[in-house]
Amino acid sequence: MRFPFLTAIYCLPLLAVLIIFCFPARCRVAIRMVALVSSVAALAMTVLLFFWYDRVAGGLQFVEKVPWVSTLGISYFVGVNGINVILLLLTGIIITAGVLASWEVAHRQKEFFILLLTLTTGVFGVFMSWNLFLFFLFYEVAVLPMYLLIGIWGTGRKEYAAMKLTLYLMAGSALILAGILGLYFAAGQRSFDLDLLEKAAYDPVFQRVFFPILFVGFGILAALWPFHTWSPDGHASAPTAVSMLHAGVLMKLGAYGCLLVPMTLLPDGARFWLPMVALLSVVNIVYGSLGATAQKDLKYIVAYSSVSHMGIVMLGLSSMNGTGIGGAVLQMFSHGIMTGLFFALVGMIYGRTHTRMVDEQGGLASRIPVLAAFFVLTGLTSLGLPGLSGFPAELAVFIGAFRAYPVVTVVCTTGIVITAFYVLRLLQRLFFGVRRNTNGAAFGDAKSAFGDAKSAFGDANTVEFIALALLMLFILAVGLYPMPFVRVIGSAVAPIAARLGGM
Amino acid sequence: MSMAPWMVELATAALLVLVLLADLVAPRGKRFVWPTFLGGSLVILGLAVFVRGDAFLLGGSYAADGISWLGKIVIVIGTILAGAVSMDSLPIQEKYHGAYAALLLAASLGMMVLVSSRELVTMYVGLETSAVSLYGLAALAKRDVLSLEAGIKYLVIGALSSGVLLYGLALVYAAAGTTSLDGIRAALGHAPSPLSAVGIILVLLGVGFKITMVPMHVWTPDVYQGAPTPVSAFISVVSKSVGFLFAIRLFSVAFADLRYVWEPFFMAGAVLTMTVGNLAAIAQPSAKRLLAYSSISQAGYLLVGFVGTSSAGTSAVLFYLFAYTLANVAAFAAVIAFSSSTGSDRLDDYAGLARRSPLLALVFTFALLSLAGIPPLAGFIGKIYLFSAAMERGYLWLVVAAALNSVASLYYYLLILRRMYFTEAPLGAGPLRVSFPVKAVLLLTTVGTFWLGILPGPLMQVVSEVSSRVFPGP
Repeated sequence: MRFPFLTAIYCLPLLAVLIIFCFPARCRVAIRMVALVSSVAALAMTVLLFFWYDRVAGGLQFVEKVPWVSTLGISYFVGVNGINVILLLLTGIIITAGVLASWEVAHRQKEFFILLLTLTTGVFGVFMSWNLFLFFLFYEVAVLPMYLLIGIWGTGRKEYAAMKLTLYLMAGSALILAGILGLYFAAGQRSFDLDLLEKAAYDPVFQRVFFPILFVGFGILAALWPFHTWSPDGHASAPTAVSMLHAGVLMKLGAYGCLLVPMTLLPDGARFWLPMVALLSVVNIVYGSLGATAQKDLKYIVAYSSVSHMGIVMLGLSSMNGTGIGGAVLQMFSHGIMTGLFFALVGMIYGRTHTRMVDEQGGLASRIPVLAAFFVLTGLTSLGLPGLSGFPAELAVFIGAFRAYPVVTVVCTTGIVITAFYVLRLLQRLFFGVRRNTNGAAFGDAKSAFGDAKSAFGDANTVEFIALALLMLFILAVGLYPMPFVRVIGSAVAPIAARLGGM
Repeated sequence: MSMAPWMVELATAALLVLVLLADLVAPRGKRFVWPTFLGGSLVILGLAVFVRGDAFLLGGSYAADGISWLGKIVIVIGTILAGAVSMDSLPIQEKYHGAYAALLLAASLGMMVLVSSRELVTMYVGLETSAVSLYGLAALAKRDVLSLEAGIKYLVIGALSSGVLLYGLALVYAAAGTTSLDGIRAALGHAPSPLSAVGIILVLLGVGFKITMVPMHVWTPDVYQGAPTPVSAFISVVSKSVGFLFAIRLFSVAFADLRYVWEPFFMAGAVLTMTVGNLAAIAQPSAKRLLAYSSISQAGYLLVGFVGTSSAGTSAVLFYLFAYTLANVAAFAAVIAFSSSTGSDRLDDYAGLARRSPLLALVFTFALLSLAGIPPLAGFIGKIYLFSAAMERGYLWLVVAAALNSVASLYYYLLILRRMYFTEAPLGAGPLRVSFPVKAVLLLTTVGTFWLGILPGPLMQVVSEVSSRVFPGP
């Protein structure tokens, strides 16, 4: 028997959960080392997967398939195509950076890592499942730990935010469940395997009814307007690593679900409904960036910018052609890493200044130059500067979308202008401008009594630097040499685009 | 006539006598009662699982078939678990422990008769045997006003619904001219007469009492709250499961050809039951009342299974009964562990339980999440099985309603989690002392919940084989 490579990827965090569970809570160093080792190992495996995946042959590789519950046609069926490879890599990167960013978590550290790694297990599982039942199972496993993670370790209105997020996402999964069962019976194969479901011919009316059910179900998790309201509250209240994972990976899980299930399986429904989705994504892009402009809390700014960037992903998906969808997948990767960096940096800055309010800080560039440099680069990625990962992704999305919906796309580009405005203004206020102390007074004012400025904080320490550098490495890699990524994605996107009728 | 098909019932009756004798030997203590009860019931469980011969007795009015086989297994498992959590936590004097164990066995004996009968009169006898024992059990803590109130309420509403049921059965008999289930199916045919239609609806209301279907659910919260907690666990799990098997016998067998008469009522009942149960559960301050409403909503999900085809629906209901039994017993056992250590039933007192007794909180969490249908627990696959039965017949709206209801139920389960994990424990609150039998029950049910959730294949094969034998054809 071949080594079950994919199973091993999600078993690594699962194994770490079991090991940590057996440790007494006082072994703080051991617990975080176990978490780190498992996530680095998982990252290494996803990197290997990226290189070992045969991008010329394309299609589904590394397949493992065993019957599981034969009465219902459920099999344990995992495999990867080009899109999965990219998203698994993203998950590996973000979880490693996330564990490093939670290095100093002190409050109930054992439970924190158990839940964080359980969530990671679920995300890895979703990105490799090719049986819809298995897919749904991992999906739910990925969503639920979030409730406790935000509720216990969050800040602000954390209990409200945790409950709102969980109920929104679970309502989405209720729709997904109904949709999956509908597909199961409509295909008449008595199987949840995606390759069989893909071959079935669904009645056009059925497709038009079930497409919105499934698309909205997944769209909630991708923060599709008007189902996005859980996301700013949730992201702003979550602890750093959870914001990173949630905005970086879980939202992509929603977009990936939209692409994998309704769009691939129900092409007639997609042709009918996707223009509507394009309109919604305009609202996402423009409203999200306007929202980010209006916010004063750093985390809310990043959260709204996520809503706006996920709109670009949705716009790419709705273009129905290979360029647009491929761009959307690349944007998922790029935005995942970028937003991970953003949340990590916001967490680190908050750890030093003890405030997330933009007005209360300023002139940080001279005090934390390394963090400031990372933040500036991330901001420039966000506004789509060439040479960084945001540029090729957004360019591809807009080229693809322009072919399908010229007017809509032109309206969407205003979102980029607004993004440039709020990002540059944010950078200016935070890092340049007047130096301020933690109490918001300008440095040197009478209010800043004595010396708290010098003693309070230093620049990035080694652990933080490694986390940030890891993320930045991939932003630069995609930005400077996107071809390997584009090829891998293209091999998987082309068949979907062909089914949808666009090229 | 072979004794094998009767073995479980006979053994239960024998154990009932033995328990009474043990009580006689040591009248003031529970020293002999519980070992006899547990040892005997484990033997009966072995018999119930391994002795399986399909046979029709007494001219076809009593059957040992797949449904009675699975039914007896659920009954015996439920009885053992309820007995085990009772030992150290009953709020009654020691001298009543013998009577308690005997009533528990009498109730389960009646239920065994009920799930095995294929004829109306025998069914009714079994039903009343169990019901009368349950009234006694609910009121057993006779110093406790709430327990007495629970007993009286249960008795009055139970008697009322028995009357309704009996009236319905009489009308069905009048329409069909026979009391045998197969005979009724043949005699009623495909076209309902006014007589049979009214009869069927009255029967549904009568059965609705057992399975806590809205609007026949009103007794549930008061009885569950007032009765000793192990009795509530027993009623909510075993009595309700048996009610569902009773409903399968009546509706999926005897009235199967008149599906269009009762199916709308089942659909409306399913949606009403889960919605009312879930909405009412949200605001409950008492753990037992919350579990009462949650078990009402669980009945709503089970009713969805009846909308499916006889074969697929029945196997889904049977599977879910196992999942529900394990999760609900675990939840009640956690409540018993909490209240017998702290003396409180208020949910707000669960604050900080995760710091006081991490394992108890964890097990309670798993039980609640299984009830909410979260993977990889038994309730997840059970719900998918149930909903798929309704989806197979194209009832998208029903599936969406049921799935959204699961989300609503998650809300109040999460509120319990919030108390246990987010809130700090009151000052000076130490870890809880949980007695060994309760621990064992918690462990077994949790392992079972995971096992059915991760490897549901074997049980699913058994239930689908059973129901395809009871309902041959499509």
